Amino acid sequence: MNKIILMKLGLIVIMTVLIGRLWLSAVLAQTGTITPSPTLTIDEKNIQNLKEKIATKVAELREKNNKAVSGFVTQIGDQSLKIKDEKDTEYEIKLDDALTKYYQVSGTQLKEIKLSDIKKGLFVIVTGVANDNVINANILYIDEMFLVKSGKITEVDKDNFSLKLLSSDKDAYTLEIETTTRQQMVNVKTLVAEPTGFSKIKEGDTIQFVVKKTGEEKNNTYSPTKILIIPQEFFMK
Amino acid sequence: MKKEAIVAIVFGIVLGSILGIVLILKNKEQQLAKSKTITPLEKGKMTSQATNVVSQLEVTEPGDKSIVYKNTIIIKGSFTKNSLIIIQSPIKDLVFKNDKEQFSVDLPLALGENVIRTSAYPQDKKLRSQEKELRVYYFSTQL
Repeated sequence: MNKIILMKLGLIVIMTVLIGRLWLSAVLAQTGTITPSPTLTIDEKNIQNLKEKIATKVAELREKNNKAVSGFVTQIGDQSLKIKDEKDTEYEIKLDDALTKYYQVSGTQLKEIKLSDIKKGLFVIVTGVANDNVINANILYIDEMFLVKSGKITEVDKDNFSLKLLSSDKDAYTLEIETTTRQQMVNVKTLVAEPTGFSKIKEGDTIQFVVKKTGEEKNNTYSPTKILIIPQEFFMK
Repeated sequence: MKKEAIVAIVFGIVLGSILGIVLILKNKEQQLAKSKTITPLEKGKMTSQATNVVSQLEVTEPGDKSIVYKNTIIIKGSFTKNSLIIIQSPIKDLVFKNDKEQFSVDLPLALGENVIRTSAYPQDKKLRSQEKELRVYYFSTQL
């Protein structure tokens, strides 16, 4: 009899302990008031990770918004200037006394200059945060503008060493070949660019050329720094 | 039944049959005309069409108006294979034949603005040449 009572009592105790544990874990899970210290460390790590992620994202966005535009200076105002790019798109450049830096591209070097060195008609590159056609300039560089074009030779003037051509953009150009102009021609058999002379250039040849644009040229006449001829024989093969 | 009635019935049946045959034939013709589009092409025609397929010149890298801080970049692109590809910038000309559609070449950069023109002249001279221009800005350090 006693044994049965003892067994019953033991069963009640075990049941009570089990129910108690279940209740405690449920309460802890809901309230989270008794958080052990290792969870705090994990939370701190998570916060740190989140901070790092936000910082990376901010840097990415800043880099993404950091744009570069280039063009000739058309107007200089108070704390701003206007430039026009090769497609005649106008940009307003906002300058900041404390933030904007000015440099001159000189060969392979950058030389620091002042705002007063920026003149109308100069070719500049501006980097900064862009909002449509308004750029908050971080850095402004004075540089040289080059055009890289191609077209078909329509006339060869052997007396004046000049070429007339129609570009692929349907613009007419006159190129005055100087002794300094690097002249090359594609070998039709080997497809290698080889040095050539003016006498080998013919009407109907395709030309690729590089010219320095100062903005003061007249009638699209330039002295190219280099030309590359693709002879018409290439297209007849 | 009167004789006229029999003649009229026979005439009606004959006329109806003729009309039916004509309609069936017309319908067949129309169906044949429609099914012509899915008739397979002759072998020769298929080959000539396949050779005339030309891909668009793509320059996938770098992006236009990119800012870089290294004095060389890799130009990646694609065009119909065996074409003459010319990549020209103010400081370098690269002339080569692309053995595969995809091409990838190193191009040195000058400090400041680099105008890079990629021209592609296909081997098949009946096809038009294509070109792409992009600007890359190289600055020696992140100021």
